[in-house]
Order: sequence, then structure tokens, then C-alpha cells
Amino acid sequence: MSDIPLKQIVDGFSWNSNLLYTQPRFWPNALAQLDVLRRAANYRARWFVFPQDIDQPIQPYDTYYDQLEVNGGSYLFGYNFACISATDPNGDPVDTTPSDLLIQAEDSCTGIPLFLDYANANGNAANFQSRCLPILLSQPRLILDPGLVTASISNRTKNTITCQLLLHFAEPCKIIDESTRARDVRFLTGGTR
Amino acid sequence: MSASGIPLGRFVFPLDLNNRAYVPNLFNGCLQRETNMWERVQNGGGLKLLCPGTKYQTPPWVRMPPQGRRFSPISSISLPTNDGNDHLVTSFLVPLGYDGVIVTVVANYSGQGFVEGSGDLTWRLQLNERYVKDYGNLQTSVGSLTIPTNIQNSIFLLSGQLVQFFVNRSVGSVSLVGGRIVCGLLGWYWPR
Repeated sequence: MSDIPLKQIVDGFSWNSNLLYTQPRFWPNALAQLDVLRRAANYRARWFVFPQDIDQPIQPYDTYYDQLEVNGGSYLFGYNFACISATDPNGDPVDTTPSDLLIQAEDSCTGIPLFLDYANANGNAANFQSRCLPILLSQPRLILDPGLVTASISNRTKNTITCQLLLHFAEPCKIIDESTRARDVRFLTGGTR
Repeated sequence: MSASGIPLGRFVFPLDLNNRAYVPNLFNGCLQRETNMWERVQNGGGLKLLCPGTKYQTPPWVRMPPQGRRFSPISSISLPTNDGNDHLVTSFLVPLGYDGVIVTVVANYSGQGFVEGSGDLTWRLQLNERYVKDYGNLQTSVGSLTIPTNIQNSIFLLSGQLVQFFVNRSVGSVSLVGGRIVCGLLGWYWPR
């Protein structure tokens, strides 16, 4: 049995000249775990953000919850977090860092969380120095039907903070064959064509 | 030219770029096998069927199972100085192997001069490093030890979590006189 050489994958990961593909680094090894997903056809990237409105701040000492729905069979392969601005209790601008916030994401169907407990966002914000964008999971996480994922962001300061958590998914495209398309056309045209 | 204006009809060429269908390849087969396997596990009841643990007839966070154990850490401190810092009143650690739920919260001040919602006193309930939603910035007293208030949104606890109840006295709260801060959390654990 002989080895089968595979072609070089050409996608957004390949074209990032800032990345160092040195062997002992986490990122290229995590990227290697995405190999099957990158080579598969009919998957498209889909990104979700929390909160959806970037102007919706996280209130002091509060926890923000939200849920998204992806297609069943999607893979969560990475994430990133950005802390944007903050105001103090008097409404004046104040410096903020991702360490002011804690994040968590969970597959609603299985109840399996991304982190064991809320994780400090400071270690989950890529800056192209200590961590690359996006932060890859060690293995892509399969999300089954009904494809519900919850995310939470917890503010542990007295400041009101605007921030956003970005989740990267690979979503299977629906294959439309000719019979399906013909049926849809008949439906749309009322049976005449 | 077909009636739709697309050469050779719309069945040959895609309607637009988004309708391009790539032929599934060997790697799609790998992913499909993984999906099928996990769907079978999920349809059979999920990974919990494979893991040792306790099954309950009713959700244990709604009704305490016979194996459950109640907890009620109640503690008090004298009125702290008005330094604007958080002062720990009561805390406990969820036992390993047990999950739990808090069904009653008590946050009280027994002294004089406190106006509800004034911000002079703020109670904060913390699970590990995060504050519980709606209980991270509590500016009114809640319930009492004789008449505890059952909260509507039960607070879930996970094995090994550190639960802490703080009180914060604001710098401008000079009207508070004497008394003690009383905090209590009532609920139960159950074996996971």
C-alpha cells in the first residue's frame, strides 16, 4: 500500500504570511487537526458574534447570555474576543482590557461547554503576538441538530464594557440536485414553466 | 437560450455563484461518518448513557432527590467601613461529585439608615470568578431568615465551584448606623 500525496490546501490559512509554521507551536498543530475539514467540499465559513449589536454593553457585575442557531453538522473550529471600550459608573471613558471579562460557550443540545468554567477573556483574545487569529480549538467541535450554541460573557468590574465574542463555524452547504431544483421551480412558478 | 435567459437553461448552470455545488469528496465521507456516529450516540440518549452517574425521575434542580443534601450557610458581619470595597460575608465550596441549586437568597441589614436601592449597600453573589446574573449588583435587601424568599431563577452550582456572597458599602454611605450584614444561601446538592 503506497502513500497518496495530497495537494496543498489553498485557503485563507495558507495565505497568512504572518504565521510561523514551526513544529513546536500550538497553532500549526491545531491547524493540522482541521485538515479534513479544510479539504472537504461543500463547507462554508460562517461567523457569529456576541452580542450581535456591538453597541450593546455588558453591565457592571452582570452576565450576558445569548444563543445562536447553526445548521446541524456544523463545526466550531475557532473563536476570538475583542474588548472595545468601557465607561465608569459616572459615564466617563475608562481603560479596559479583556481580563475584565469572562467568556463561555456551550453546545445547548449536549450541555458540553467549551471551557470547564468561565474563562478569562485575556487569554482568549488574539493579538497576532501571543496568539494568532482565530484562536483554534485543538479539535473542531461538531454541533449536531438542532445546532444550538449558547454563549455568555461575564463582566466582573464596576465599569460598563462593550466587547464582542466571535465564533468561527464551518457550515455544511445544502446540496441542491436537479430534482430538488426542478421541484422548487415548479413550486415557485405554480407548476408552469 | 432558455426562457430564463440563462444559456442552456438553469439546470446546467447555477443561478448564481452561491449555488455552486462541489462534488462531495473522500473527506466529506470522513466527516459524514463522524456525524453519523455522534447522531447515533445522541439519539440513544447521549454520552450520559455511557458515563457512570445517577439518574433521577424528576429534574433534581426542581425537586430534591432522596440522595440530595440540603445546605444553608448563613453568616453575618458587623457593618463594614465605608471604603467602597467588597467584604466577604459567607462562602462555601460545592463538594466534589455533587451539583446543586440555590433556591433561596437572603441579604439583609439589621442596622438603621439604609434606604432600599440607594446604593449605600450592594450585595454581590459570585460563583468562582463570575457574578451571578441579577445578583452581582443587588442594591436592595432580599428576604429574611424568618421569611426566606424563593427566587424564581434558580442558581445552578457545579461540582467544585466556590460560592461567595459579598457586601459592598459605598464611600458616601455615612447615614448607616450600627447593625450587622446578614447573608444566607439555601438550597441542596445532589450526586452527579
